Amino acid sequence: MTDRARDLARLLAAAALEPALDGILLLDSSPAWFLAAADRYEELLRAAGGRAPRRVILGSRESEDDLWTRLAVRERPDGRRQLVPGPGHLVQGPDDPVIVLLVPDLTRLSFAARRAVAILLDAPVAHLQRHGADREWRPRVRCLAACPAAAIGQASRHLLERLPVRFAAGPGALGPDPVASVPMTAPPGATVAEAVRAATARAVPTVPGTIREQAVRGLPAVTPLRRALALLRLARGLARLEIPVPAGPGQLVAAEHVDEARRLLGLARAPAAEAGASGDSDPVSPPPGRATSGARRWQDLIDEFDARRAAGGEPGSGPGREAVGPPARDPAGTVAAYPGAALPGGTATLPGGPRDPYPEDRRWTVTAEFSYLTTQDQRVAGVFDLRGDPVGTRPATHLRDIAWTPTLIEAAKYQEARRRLRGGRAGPGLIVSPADLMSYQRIHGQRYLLVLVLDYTCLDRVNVAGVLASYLDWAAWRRAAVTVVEVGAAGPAGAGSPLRARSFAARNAHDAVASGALSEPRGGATPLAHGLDLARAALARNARGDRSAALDAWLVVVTDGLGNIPLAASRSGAVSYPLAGEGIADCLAVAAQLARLRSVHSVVIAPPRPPLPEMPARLAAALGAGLIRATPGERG
Amino acid sequence: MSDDSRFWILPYAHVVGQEQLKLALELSYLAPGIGGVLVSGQRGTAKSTAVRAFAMMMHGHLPVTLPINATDDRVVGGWHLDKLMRGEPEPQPGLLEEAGEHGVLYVDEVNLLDDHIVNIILDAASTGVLTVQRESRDEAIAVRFSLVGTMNPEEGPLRPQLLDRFGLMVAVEAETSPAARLAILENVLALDEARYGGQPGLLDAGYHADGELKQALSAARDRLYDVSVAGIKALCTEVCAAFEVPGHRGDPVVLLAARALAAREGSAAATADHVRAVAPLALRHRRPGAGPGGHVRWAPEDDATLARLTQPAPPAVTALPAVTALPPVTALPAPTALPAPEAPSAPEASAGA
Repeated sequence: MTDRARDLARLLAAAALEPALDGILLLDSSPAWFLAAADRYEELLRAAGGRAPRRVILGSRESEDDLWTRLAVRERPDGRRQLVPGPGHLVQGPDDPVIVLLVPDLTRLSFAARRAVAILLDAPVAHLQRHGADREWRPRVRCLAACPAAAIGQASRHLLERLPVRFAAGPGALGPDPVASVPMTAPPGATVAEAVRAATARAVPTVPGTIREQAVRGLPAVTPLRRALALLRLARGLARLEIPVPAGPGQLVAAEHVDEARRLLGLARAPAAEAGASGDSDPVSPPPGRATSGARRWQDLIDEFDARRAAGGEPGSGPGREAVGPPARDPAGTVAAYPGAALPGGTATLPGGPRDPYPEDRRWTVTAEFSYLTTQDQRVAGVFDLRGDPVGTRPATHLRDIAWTPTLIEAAKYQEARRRLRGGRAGPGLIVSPADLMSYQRIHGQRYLLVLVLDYTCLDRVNVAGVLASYLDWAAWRRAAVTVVEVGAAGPAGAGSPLRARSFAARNAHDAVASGALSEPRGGATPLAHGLDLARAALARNARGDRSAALDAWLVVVTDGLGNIPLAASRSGAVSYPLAGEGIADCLAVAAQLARLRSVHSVVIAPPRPPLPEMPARLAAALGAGLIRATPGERG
Repeated sequence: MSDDSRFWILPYAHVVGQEQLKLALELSYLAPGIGGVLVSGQRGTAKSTAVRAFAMMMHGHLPVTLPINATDDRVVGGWHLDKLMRGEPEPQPGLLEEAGEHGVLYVDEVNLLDDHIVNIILDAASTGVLTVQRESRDEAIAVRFSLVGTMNPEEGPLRPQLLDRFGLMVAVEAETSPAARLAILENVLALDEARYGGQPGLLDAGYHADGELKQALSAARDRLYDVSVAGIKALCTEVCAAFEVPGHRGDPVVLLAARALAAREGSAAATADHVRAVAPLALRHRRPGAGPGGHVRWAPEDDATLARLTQPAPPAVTALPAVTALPPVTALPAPTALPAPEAPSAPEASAGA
């Protein structure tokens, strides 16, 4: 058993004892490892709650009706069968077990599933108001999700906030038995589940004020409080696990538990001076037998576990128990498993390298189109389209996209009346009328367009991330298609003539950023006129006004306006010297064409001190665009 | 229908900070004609917590809540399905009708609502009549309710038509002071211990404080129309004109909110100070150029303008005797000015297209 598997077992055990710690995200876990962790988590929840939780797997296909409504067949007294609508998988009654939501890939959740997670996690109350159902209940839900750290930008920030407990697995860090027994203060040979079961008999430890203060001090002021709460709740779960039996009321969480919780999450420790101060000034006496160092204490427990096993208390020998290997040790054999835990940036050093438990804070990303929880608006009657997620239903006007659950519910309402009308002529089946048919209302396809013209010969003088963020976020929120036009990029060999700009279409803003745009090295020539012409071609479809056109488009040009390559040279691939400002004249001419396009909003973003200050303004005037002076970039 | 009466909502008294949010909720309760409150802020800023805690304190139950995935039959009303299937048609009131009975409709994450549901709400809220013409029903039901909505502007803006239905708007931000953050942690952990640790007494002090505040607010509501507004009518129109508020909806909201604040403080008349305190809440989302969905700028110069308009303060008024005055809101924190965007409001400018 690896150290990370052992750490995960601790984390899941502590989380199982903390009902409010309901969102756990595993970073970079393999599918097999995730499912094994899910099995163990359910086992621990059963140990903590006394009954098996109900598993619900959320993926990319679930609809609202799948999750919240269910049709059941009921036998009537007269022997006939009847379809009865009822609450779906996610609705709980007071006697129902805890639900475990398993999300194998957070970036691939369906629209309805994303909403469901947002509704149920960290919520004191949930409401169901669908298809006649009127329910209000207290959710008792846990969520175990997985996501590649590199793809975190594709996940909903809303959901990420609700998954504050993070655990970085690291590729290949786990063996065939990913989660196995962990020594706590349980008897020799006890499994984690048995330790959790024993811990439920103890009172919930109190978190002293000094510990709360230490936790707040150790996190930046802008850290969401859910994360600070997750840290303290995890520490409280750890404390409850290891309080010796018998334990009376008044047990307290100690600094060591917070340190251990930090380490499990991958957070840096609190600043040394403050940690020391809290240790000195904390009036709370540690529980009996507590060591002075949290990391040291856990190592002690591991040592003790090994000693017990060597003495014959083999935890893997009993039914349902898994074999465990020796814990990893550093060469000295005396220090914590991860001795260099703290990095200045707030991450911890793990065997697989530095891990950031909250990578969404550090990446410059745009929210992916499929991570928003809003639907696209319905203001335009588009062409009939079966694509897109269902967001509602309406009486059907065709037979191509029937919503069967609402249809059957609609039909079920009138069965009695219809049977009476038909007398004895009605058969045993459901009587469906054309008036019952319901079809889906679906999210429309892309109706917005963002065109970025990036002049790489000046891009490093512009704070690109800052000036483009709002446009990319707009594109992400609108699910806009994005066309990127690159002007003056050096590009790899064979990338094309430097006299030409190049463009590519991205499905969305996230793909545009992920494609590597904005990071090309600068080239020598500036075929800005050609770049604007490519932008014009991309926008021309929008201006045709046909039904496939975008509703709204933005053209964002980042340039100093010094386009030195004439349009003809870009098209022919050959330049005729000397040049006498034809490139700039062509830029202004193409800009004037762009200004005539309908439904296009334009803006020119110029570096702070352009070589010819009037050029960006002239270009903006020709485009009919706004002009923005960007903040300095790398080269100012 | 509730299957568990114990939702473990934090006592209102334990909601740390967010004074503007609390003020807006209380004013909306004191003067329902204000038209409700929109609370806009990032995740984890106690928006929903404060709204639910306030409803529990004042009414003893959660507000009528419209979830984001509600179907239109539950919004407008339909039939009790189980009875209908037994051949016993019995109308089932929709959420708008229930909200009309309770006076408040709460929409958590209001900007995530599907557009066709928003349209239904707008129709009922603007006309005061809920028209049900579906499933063999044909009724017109008078409904009057205030909208209370919470939203995270990161998830997208609110349609201007819906934004305009909210009387007051609060832009909340996360508490960053260590003392406030510590207090929040303390309260939430205490709620945990009360809920899961079998120590419900930990929250008793908060519930007791809630009871006292409820009594005081109820008394203030009873005396709302005893408060004179004669001295501020012209000022309210002047303020709205100075901030270029289109239409006429802003004027009465400012006046009513100032009157509610005066009643809350036990004053006999609403003054310029009251107008100054409530104007940002009533006007920030109505100003021209205000972006939809909470990206609304209220800069320090707006405070300066407001201070100039509301000076000099009218003569001091005598407090009504024999009423319990709530703590005066004398030092409201200055509304936080959003930083000027580096780019023109591209998303906002086109959002309404």
